[in-house]
Amino acid sequence: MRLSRRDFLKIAGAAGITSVLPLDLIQKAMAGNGDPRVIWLQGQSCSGCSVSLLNSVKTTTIDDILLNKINLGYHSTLIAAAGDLAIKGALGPHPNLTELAAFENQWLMEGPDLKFDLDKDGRVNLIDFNALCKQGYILVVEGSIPAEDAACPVKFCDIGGHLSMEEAFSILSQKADRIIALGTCACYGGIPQAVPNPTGAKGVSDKLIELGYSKPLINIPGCPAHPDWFVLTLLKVLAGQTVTLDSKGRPADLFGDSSSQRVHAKCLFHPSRWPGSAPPQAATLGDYGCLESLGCKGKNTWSNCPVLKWNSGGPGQNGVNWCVEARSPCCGCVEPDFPDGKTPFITGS
Amino acid sequence: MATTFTIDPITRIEGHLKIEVTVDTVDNQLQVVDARSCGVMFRGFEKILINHDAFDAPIISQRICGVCPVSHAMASCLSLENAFGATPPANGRILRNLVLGANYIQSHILHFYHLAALDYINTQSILDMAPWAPRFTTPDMLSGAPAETFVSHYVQALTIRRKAHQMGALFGGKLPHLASFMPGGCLDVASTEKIAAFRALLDEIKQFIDTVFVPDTQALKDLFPQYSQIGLGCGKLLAYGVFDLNEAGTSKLLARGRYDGTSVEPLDPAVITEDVKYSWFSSPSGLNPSVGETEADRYKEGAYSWTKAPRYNGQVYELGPLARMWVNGDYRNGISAMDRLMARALEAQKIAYAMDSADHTSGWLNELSVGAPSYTKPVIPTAPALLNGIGLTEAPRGALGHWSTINPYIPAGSSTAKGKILRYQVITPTSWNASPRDDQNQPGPLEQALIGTPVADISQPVEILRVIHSFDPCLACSVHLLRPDRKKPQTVVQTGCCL
Ligand code: SF4
Ligand code: SF4
Repeated sequence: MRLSRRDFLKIAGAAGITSVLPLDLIQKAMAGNGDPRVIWLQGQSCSGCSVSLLNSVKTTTIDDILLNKINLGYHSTLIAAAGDLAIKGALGPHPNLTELAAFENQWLMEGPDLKFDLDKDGRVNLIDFNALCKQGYILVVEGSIPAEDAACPVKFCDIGGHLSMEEAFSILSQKADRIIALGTCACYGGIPQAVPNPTGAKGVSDKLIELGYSKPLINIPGCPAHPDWFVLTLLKVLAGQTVTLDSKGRPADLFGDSSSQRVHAKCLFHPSRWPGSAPPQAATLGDYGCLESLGCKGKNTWSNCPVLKWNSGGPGQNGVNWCVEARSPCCGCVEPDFPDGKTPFITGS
Repeated sequence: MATTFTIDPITRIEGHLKIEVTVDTVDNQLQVVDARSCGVMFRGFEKILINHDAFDAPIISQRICGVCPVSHAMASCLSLENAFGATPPANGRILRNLVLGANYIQSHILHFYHLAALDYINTQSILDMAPWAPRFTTPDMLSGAPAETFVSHYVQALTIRRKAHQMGALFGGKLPHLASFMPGGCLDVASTEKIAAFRALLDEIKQFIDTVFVPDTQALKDLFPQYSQIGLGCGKLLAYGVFDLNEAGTSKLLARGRYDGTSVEPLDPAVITEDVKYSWFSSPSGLNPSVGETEADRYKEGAYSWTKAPRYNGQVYELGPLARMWVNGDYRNGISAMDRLMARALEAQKIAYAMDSADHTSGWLNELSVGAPSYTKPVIPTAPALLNGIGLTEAPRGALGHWSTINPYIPAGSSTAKGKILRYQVITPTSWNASPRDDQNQPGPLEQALIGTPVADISQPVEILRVIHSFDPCLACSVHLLRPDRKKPQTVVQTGCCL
């Protein structure tokens, strides 16, 4: 089942992946010492960003990512292990079952007070957090982080292993080499943070400020994030390339700050695409044409949706559709003020 | 001596769910004697929706779940259409069915291959790497050649479910979280090219369902016959019905109804209530969702879940593909862990062929008329003062309802009314299936299904996972062992379909 790196390059070449990504970038990403460890934390998320990632194909497919590119230590939707096994997977390099059993004993004895980096004399310390930190890891966060009450045993978001999302994030973010906030909830708080923010939810950058940590962070927003935004960025990180960020902490080539990078500028109804005539205007929902008077947020949204589109059919191919092409106003899902600053989504008569 | 444990988090479930299980020896057999299902994540969607423009609801509410966003968008549209007295044109109804059907298929395939089958297959020698390792491996799991076949189907299924999403995006704009469902129909339109593209993808998906998905599920059912006797649950099934075949919604591909243990009976939404005795909410218990309330209270004594306990006339009902197929008369072999898997695969097949018959001459794709409108914007009535809407449909994992109360008003300088959300209540299928106990202390369907499940090796409680996963709970789920000899009681975590 497991493809060698050489096999992968062959298939990648044949499938046209190399026409999307420069070959040397793929080679660099593959040439690392293998097993880049990725820990995936799901907070207040709908799992939509995970599901979206399963749709990745234009750049490379999810099976390729899992088989060849990353060592996904903890991801609750995909992982084969359950319970403590899964939590342990996040924290140590491949323990065997005997070690796991020993660990489980210790974990259950110590409960939430167990310190990840404490060496317990005479006992297997499976969660060898120091070793993990030496090896380095990328922390991917999906979903927002609610404000818990330390005095209350009940948490708004419990991720398992006696950890609230807030605790897990504060431990894992402190030691991560780099953090990728995936999806608008993780980047900026998204829908859980919307008025009245019933759980005190925050996105990663705000939470880092609250914790006083300064960490290299890449925001890949979107509700959900487009799978190719994530895969392209991850490949660049693995290849050691610098990812230039825009003013909102997002990869500048995919999002950006200039007016030419707005959804509007790339839209099929932008006046530049209708030389000699005005673009058609939709008068009411369901009509064909520019949706500005019906609430389209394309003028205040920066992303490459109109070009990349969504749900690609194969390697190197753009997607089959996107919001405006489906006659639906862009709702601005990649912006920090989504959703409160973008509602009402539909305007006009 | 009874041992309580928690599998926490229960992985391979979308969301956050925790199951606390007590195991004891009964008749010389270690088995589950008690179970508590706890939703462990809360966001407060029903509060967030209040004061929003009514047309924001399909876009915001579908973000409750990234696995069944289409069902939430559909329930939201139906609820608002019901409130406004609006009916979409035929093309709008059919396009929405096609997108919903595409998402059912991707969800059912994802559930079987990527979430449930790994409980039965030992992949250790084939995929000894994360995220497939570490994992439970019990002697009864399939290994060798059959396991290799399953793993190759696992990889193939990744492609097929992606194509199912691609198919839905043709008319949805994008998936997950689509753009085109609005009260009044579907904003995207049917074109000859898109119908052809949909058909081509569907042909490939049908072939996978016929030659891989259904046979694999049948094979698993035959190889593990004991699981047709395990995870029986409450024995009562309920379906709101889905895939409207006429504009009035009176005819559906999968009918509305309930099986009370003896016969299939009609369903009256007025007797649905939600209890909160064991949920972290301070709002009154036993309310019908049309007057429902959601006040979070993390400090509530005795509570153990972020999901409420929905009940039909005070009784516990199970939802899902098995309930739909049973009520509709398509599958009545039994109610068990394996029957849930089997009904799910057969339902995917039924939906695929309803979209387009094998010879391409009938089905929903054929009923589309190219060029006809798929959307009519509803006119919001200004009387009565408050508009109430009920939107009942089905998500892949069971009946889904959105109840809305809209306050219509005419903004200054406008002649057309707008609507503001005054109340919004959602009951997700997992809220029923993974519900905590109700006010009468009756355990929920999943809790009941777990009780009596034999456990061979307490360090690898894979039997419990098999029962839990048969429900496809939309929760990131965890199970914990609670052992009396430990210093501290352990908590369990997993959630799904939490609001
Ligand atoms: S539809 Fe939206 S993005 Fe496209 S031109 Fe009009 S305003 Fe700009
Ligand atoms: S077009 Fe706008 S609403 Fe649609 S996915 Fe892109 S940024 Fe989000």
